[in-house]
Amino acid sequence: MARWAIAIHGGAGVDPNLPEHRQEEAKRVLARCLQVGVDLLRAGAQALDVVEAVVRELETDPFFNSGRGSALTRAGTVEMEASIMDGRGRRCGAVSGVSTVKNPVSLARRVMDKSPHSYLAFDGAEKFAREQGLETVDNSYFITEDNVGMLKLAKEAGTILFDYRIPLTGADTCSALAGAADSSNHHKAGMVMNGLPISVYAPETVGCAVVDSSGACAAATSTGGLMNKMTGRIGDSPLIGSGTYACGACAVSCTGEGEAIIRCTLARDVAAVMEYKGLPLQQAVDYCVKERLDEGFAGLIAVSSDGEVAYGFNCTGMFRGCATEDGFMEVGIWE
Amino acid sequence: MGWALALHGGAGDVPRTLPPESREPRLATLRRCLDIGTAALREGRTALDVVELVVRPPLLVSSPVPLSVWCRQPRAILDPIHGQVRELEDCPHFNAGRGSVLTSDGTVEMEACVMEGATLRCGAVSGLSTVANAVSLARLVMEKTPHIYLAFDGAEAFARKQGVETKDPSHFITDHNIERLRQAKEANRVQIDYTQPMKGQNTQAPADDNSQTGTVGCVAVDAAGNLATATSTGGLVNKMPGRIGDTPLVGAGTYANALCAVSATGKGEEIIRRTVARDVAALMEHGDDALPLRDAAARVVAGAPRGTVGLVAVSRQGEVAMAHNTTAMFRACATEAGHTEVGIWTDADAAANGETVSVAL
Repeated sequence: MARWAIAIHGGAGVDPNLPEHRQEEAKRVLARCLQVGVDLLRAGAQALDVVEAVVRELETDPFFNSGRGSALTRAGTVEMEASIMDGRGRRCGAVSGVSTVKNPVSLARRVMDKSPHSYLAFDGAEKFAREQGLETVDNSYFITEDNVGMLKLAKEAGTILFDYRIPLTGADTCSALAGAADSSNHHKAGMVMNGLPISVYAPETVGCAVVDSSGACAAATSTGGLMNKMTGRIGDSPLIGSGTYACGACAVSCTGEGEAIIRCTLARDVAAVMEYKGLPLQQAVDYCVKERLDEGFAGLIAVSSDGEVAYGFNCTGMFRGCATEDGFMEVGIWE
Repeated sequence: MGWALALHGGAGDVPRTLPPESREPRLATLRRCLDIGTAALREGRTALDVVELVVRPPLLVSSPVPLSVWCRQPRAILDPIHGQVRELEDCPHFNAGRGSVLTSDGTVEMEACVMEGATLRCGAVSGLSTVANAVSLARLVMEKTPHIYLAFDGAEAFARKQGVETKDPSHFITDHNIERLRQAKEANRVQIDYTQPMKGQNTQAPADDNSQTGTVGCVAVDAAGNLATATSTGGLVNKMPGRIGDTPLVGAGTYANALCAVSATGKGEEIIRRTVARDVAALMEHGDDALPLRDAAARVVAGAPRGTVGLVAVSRQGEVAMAHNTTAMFRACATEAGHTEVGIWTDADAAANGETVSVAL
């Protein structure tokens, strides 16, 4: 019998000055969601069911950028996307442009299980959700006051904002933005991501990668995307091979600068490097983070069919948590 | 070394009994596209321009401007979206642009992707219903937005802002595809595409439900060694509205890096889960077993269920691979060394070896 393991994330690229109480809150949410997964795994649940359940928890909690608490489009609405992949048979499901479905990851799973397709988007996805009887709510349910404020700031800055979880104070004005936003040196140091200084940017896509006691791997990722994104913009989270991937050997979920993740097909690359280069999990993760991301900033979590967990990121921090069958359990933010 | 180009008009179980009236127009289009692409490469156009070119240009169709004149014009004067895939999109015999297959609602939802190998820049679009050349919009997403992928209403809105050519949705719908949809609904099945003649005589309609011609794509390496790929499609007959296939997914149907450029066709769901285009490149990249292009392409295609995948690929060195595990793949290629090929099926020997065919310099 294989050993189970679980990794979760709440986004890569964290402001080094994130207030202590926000850090504590993040860790509490991560710990709670991790525990949901651990309890299920101890009870013998399958990897696919575990990743869905954990991501549902993360979506429902407004702290991170997925489901409720999603970043807003430039029109002030929420368009969510998610994907899920079952390492057994590499079955997959994905959705984009979801605006009323309470848990996009569950819709992605339905696409995989109950449709002849792998990926549905916008009106077609919404229609399918209703046919499947999934819980739907008004788009306003997903919108939080915090994010309405952030959208305003992003528009003023005239750039795309990943997310912003830090309470606005007098110091966080456009002058702070103006200083950092145009410095490519700042970007090289990871202090600017997607055109915004780290104090203003905080991507909090969520994801989960699991290997169960049968050795099966699965992964899922969910997000509201970029703050102030163009309507219809699709990022890496719903793209199989970019934000999410699972096969017989491992499962991966990524977060960070979506365009960078897509360009280097990050999730698939971790698995490909294990498969074709023969690297073990952590080395594969390190290799991809170091060699593949070029100018982009991102992070990822991964598990292997052998019960290992690994994570890596090339930016200032990544909200994460991991647990393995031997009792190891931790949540973290920084290096 | 040297430039090389390969293009496809879709892979599927097209029987060799395909009648001339279905075969000839497609072969003619493939030849025309090959000529356009090779002329452009000889003129020194970049790989990215060339792959986009294959889908258009109505310029050439409607007005006899000599190709050499047209290619020499500065880009600023030229309509900025020239590309080989554009030529294929305008041909109603292929499943892209005009001639796209229909959703279960009888509508057209087109998608496309371009990728530049040297920089890994890419652009993709889905859910288009009025844009004349999806591949060109994908390129604009890459060049004019901070994003990679736009879809549905957002993509249509972007198209209008960019002033690209749009048509009434009915422009893209052909009688042929209306009939295909009707048949698919009767059979209550999703088809990749369907190339059998519609006149009542065909008895194998159920057996042909896997015929997978459709999707168009082009890969090229230019004289400077730059690689590019572009793919465009209407998707699956009778697909659910909102269904996205492999074509716009970077790494699935479309991928290019510094080593190779790949465009795939076939059953989208299989191509997605196997990250087909990315895997060809991955096999060439990694470790001591780094495979040459032809072997990487053959391995990826052989690894998918029979009848589901085809692809064209070129390498930085100017090699070409065209592989499929379906009965056929509409395809053409040319290399600077002078080799050209236009074909649909594969000869018996290659078929015995798994139905792949490839061409190397």
